[in-house]
Amino acid sequence: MIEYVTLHWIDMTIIGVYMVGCFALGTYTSRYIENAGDFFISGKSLPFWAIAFSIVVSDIGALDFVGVAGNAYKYGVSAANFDWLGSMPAMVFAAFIFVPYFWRSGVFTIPEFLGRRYNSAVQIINALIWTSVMLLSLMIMLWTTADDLVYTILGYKPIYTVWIMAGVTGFYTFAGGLSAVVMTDVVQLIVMYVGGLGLLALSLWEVGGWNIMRAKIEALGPEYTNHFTILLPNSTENPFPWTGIVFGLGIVLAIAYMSGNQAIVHRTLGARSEWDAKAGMLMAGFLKSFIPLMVALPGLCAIVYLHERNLVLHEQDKVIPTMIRMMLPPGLRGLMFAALFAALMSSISGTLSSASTIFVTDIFNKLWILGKKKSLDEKQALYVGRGFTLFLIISSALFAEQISRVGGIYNFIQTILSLFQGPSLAILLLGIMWKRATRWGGLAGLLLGVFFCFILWCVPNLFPAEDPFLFVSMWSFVFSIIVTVVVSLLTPPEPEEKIRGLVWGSVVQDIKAQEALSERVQS
Amino acid sequence: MNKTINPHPTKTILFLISILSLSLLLSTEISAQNEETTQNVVIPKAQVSFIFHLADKVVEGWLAFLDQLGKTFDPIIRPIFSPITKLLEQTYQPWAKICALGLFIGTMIWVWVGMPKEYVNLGRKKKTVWTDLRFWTIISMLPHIIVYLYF
Repeated sequence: MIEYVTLHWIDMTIIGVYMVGCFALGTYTSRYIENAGDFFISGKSLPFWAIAFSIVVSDIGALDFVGVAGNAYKYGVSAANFDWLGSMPAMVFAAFIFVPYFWRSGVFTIPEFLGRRYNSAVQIINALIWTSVMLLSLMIMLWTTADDLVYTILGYKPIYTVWIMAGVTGFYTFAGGLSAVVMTDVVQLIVMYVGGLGLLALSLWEVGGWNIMRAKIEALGPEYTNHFTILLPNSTENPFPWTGIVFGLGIVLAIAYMSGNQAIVHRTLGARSEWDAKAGMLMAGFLKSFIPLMVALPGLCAIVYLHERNLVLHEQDKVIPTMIRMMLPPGLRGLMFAALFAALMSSISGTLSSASTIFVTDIFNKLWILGKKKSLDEKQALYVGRGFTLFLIISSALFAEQISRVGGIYNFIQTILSLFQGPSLAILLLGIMWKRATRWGGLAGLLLGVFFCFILWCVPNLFPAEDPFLFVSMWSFVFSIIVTVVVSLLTPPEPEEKIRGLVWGSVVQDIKAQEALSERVQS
Repeated sequence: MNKTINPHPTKTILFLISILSLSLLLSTEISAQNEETTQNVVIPKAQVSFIFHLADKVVEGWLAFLDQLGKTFDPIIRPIFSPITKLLEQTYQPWAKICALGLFIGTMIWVWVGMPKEYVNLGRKKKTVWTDLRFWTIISMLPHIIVYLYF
């Protein structure tokens, strides 16, 4: 018989207050929304600390709590690489290379920037892939959290959890746009940190502290030898070999994610100044370094805690539910659930806001221009943005269960995303750093790079890892760089006036380029 | 941000609540149908939903295409990547630690030395040490360096 956790009235009160608070705060911001600029990029008014909080909390989903703790339980501290080596250096690059360009050029989305730098084909391909991935991710995120987490622990019917989450987050994102997302994210980060650090403190207390825990795990046998090694040797038996982590994750995938993912960069586009955009990204990197403490260390503690009670978990994803059930007292349990809901809700609202911004700016507006020969005005863009937000959240909630149950769809999305990251980074980087990169170079680099990824992915046992996404992204990046450079050199250069203000050297020293940027923003 | 109050908040809220209620009813209906399907009668998936049956077929076709792609390009790709993979397999410590720490320390040096100070701090309101983003970079990086040295 399945043993569900029963929530105490204190827990229910904490969760209820948190939900109502988020709803009220998010809805309150709607009074400041008058046009598309307010809705999509907060009227360029966000301070650095709000940007930082929002980036961190949007990046961590409820399933990350479960997944990373499970990986730490099975593989050890190497599971934390994604939030350490896979974050900070990439966020510094994003802060000083990519973010200033996006912010200065006054764009709403990354595909829009690519469209200005290369051409509409690159913009639309990029936008379509991101919108599809975001929509499917939204459905899977909603259902898996409701089913794998809430139903497993509490026994609540997943469909109700899906609709409550979708209703609350959908409503405030619809009403307040990016401002509502960021303001609620600030509260959600605090809740998430309090809940996560509470679980960590209690876990360490139960196992007798760090040194005792480490000694006990190392004494368990040879299968735990690598649990305190952060960079693992190359072997097909472990999922995170060091070459993939350093070169694939640290240099390519993380930079592509932090610089080319609209859901991350979106907040910096709403910064009140260029300094706030950069500082927000740096502070987010610093705050993110604490995430493994909350999500990975409880997984390590679970090894000792469960071993001492003669319990063995065969499914690593059951670690967090088991720890919550066995260890947390009333009050802290409610706080932990509020933290998990915070992680889920922030990811949903961030994805919703970014997807609707991309849809309106890069897809709908392009079609509108084709038909009406003019752009959407501010009011129209606001209505379409809100309409698409509503459509997204309702369709996600309606089809969450069915889509999540289609065999292989989750892997399909992850594959598409990892295939796309290396080539995207290549054309983004060359677009900013090299003024000779042409529209045809960018298009060829993107399309052939993605095709090359498919090839690498499909040839079996090519790389020393069971799941070779880290290596695939690294080599596809290199391949796309080569293709973009070769095709660009074979095609005529872009006119000087088109790329003025969009390329590295021209912006740092050239006053005319700065003026061109100001004109772009005003137009 | 423009501080203008939305003129029709009540209408918007009522409209949203009605749409959400309708959708909730719809999805509960779908959920009930699914439960009935799994508990009482076994109905082939195609009859439950043509769209999702089609989605299954698309995924199956996709996987078959990838399989064929791998077989076609294997003889060309493998000779290029096998030597690199072999070389990497033999390389471990101290190179792993040097490369990881190099990424952190190299990034710090690049921000301090490689970029003009004016560019790094462009747009700041007060010129103080606390608002100098070069210091922020160092402070953000240090915990990571300690972690990679420790483990």
